[in-house]
Amino acid sequence: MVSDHVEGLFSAAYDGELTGDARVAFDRHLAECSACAAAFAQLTTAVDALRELGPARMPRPVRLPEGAPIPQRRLVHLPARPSWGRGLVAGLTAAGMVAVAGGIAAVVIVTRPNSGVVSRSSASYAEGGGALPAGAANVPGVESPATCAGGVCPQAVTAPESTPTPVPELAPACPSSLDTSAAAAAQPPAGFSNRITHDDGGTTVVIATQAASFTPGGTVYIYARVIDDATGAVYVPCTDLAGPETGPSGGSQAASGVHTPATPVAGVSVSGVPVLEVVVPRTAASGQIFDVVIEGPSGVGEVQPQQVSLSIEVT
Amino acid sequence: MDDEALLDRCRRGDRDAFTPLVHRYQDELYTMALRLTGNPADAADVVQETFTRAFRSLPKLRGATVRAWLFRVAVNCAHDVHRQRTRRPTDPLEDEEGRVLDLPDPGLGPEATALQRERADAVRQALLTLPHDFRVAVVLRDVNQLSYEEMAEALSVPLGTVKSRISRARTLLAVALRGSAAVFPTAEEAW
Repeated sequence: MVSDHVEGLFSAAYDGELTGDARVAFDRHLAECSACAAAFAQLTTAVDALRELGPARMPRPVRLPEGAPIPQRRLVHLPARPSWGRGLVAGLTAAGMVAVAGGIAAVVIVTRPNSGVVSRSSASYAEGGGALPAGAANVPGVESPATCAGGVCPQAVTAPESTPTPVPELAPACPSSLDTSAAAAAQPPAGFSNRITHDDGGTTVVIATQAASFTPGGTVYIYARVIDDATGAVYVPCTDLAGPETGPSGGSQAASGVHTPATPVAGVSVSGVPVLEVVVPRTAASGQIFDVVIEGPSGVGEVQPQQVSLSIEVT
Repeated sequence: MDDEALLDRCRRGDRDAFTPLVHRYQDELYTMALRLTGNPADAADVVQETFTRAFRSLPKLRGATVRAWLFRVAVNCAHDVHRQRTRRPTDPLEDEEGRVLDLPDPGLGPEATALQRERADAVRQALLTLPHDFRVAVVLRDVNQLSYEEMAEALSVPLGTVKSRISRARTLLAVALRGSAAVFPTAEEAW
């Protein structure tokens, strides 16, 4: 009989991670316990066999998209929003913005010149929770219905590029805090397979969508979380759909144009916390790339927000 | 030129700087994808998609190494492929164009070569029985030989989670191979 404790040491022993007294004790036990010795030998043989498979060669050339790699972008035109630093964490907590099921966040849809991006009107969301959007049931882990937190769904506004409309600090649009663990927030539900996690050392951003490609007019459900690594506080961040990408110079222009905040809480939640959504423009063409963009977080005192994005493709 | 220098050039829109990154990592990523999917065509698709995504997103990368980040993207792509396709695994020794990928040791005789191939087949099949997260863990560690730290970065999980997944995955792999006479020639006596 192999004890769980000893079996739990096998892998570390194989990797040479057991050293000093721990290794001596491990070896002594194996010398006295034939079952553990046999089990360790079998694990070693199995892992050795796996390592023997060796490398393979990519059988065909990789084709890169046309143009140049997209340079890093700055969202210089976005409306002013609360900073993402720890001060905000404290501020939100102090303000009693307790996380609730169906908490409020906002999807901001960026309309660029010539991009033809449209947004879904917040009017389509019934206060107090409406019908489950078509397709939501196809996203594993997504529940319905939920309500807009506080019974108020943020209204869509249009802010011309030259005169961005400031979002009041601590406004119920975004970000909104969630009463969930950092560990849980860092793992998107199973249905959100297209995902990216970015940790800048102080804050972790998780963005996930249910697929990497969508048809024009398709609804993109977005699992977006910002986690303060130091405090474990979790937020639903302000999220944009930017695009389409237009080539080498398109990236730098992705954030320009009109910004239309829309209601993300469409009666859909994951374990009781909100999912954002946005509709791919019906005018989008196959092959176009859009980015789900999280503005922030930035460290306290940083001027330029850091940007994290997840690409989706129109099919 | 190291990865960071190439990344800097990519950020300035230099397309040519991306190609060395492709050449540097394509085989590593393909090997990983092949072990995860068990299908050469799917694995090649994973690599293609990984670099397509990287081409669009890599210049924005912050706070992670290029290698770990590419593995992260590739793991996600492999997961997508695994979910989306139910392709019957083809002979892993040949790609869709019929070229041999995993060459047998030329120093072995026919019998030893057959045994080696049987052993490799058993391992590949056993790998595919592992739950996705565990398969990823053991492939990154024992096929691609990533360090614990690189894996934590690539998988965005704590170091402790990396170690526990590797441990569990190796145990599951050993269990899955128990009945394989090619891997355990004395399996019947041992078990």
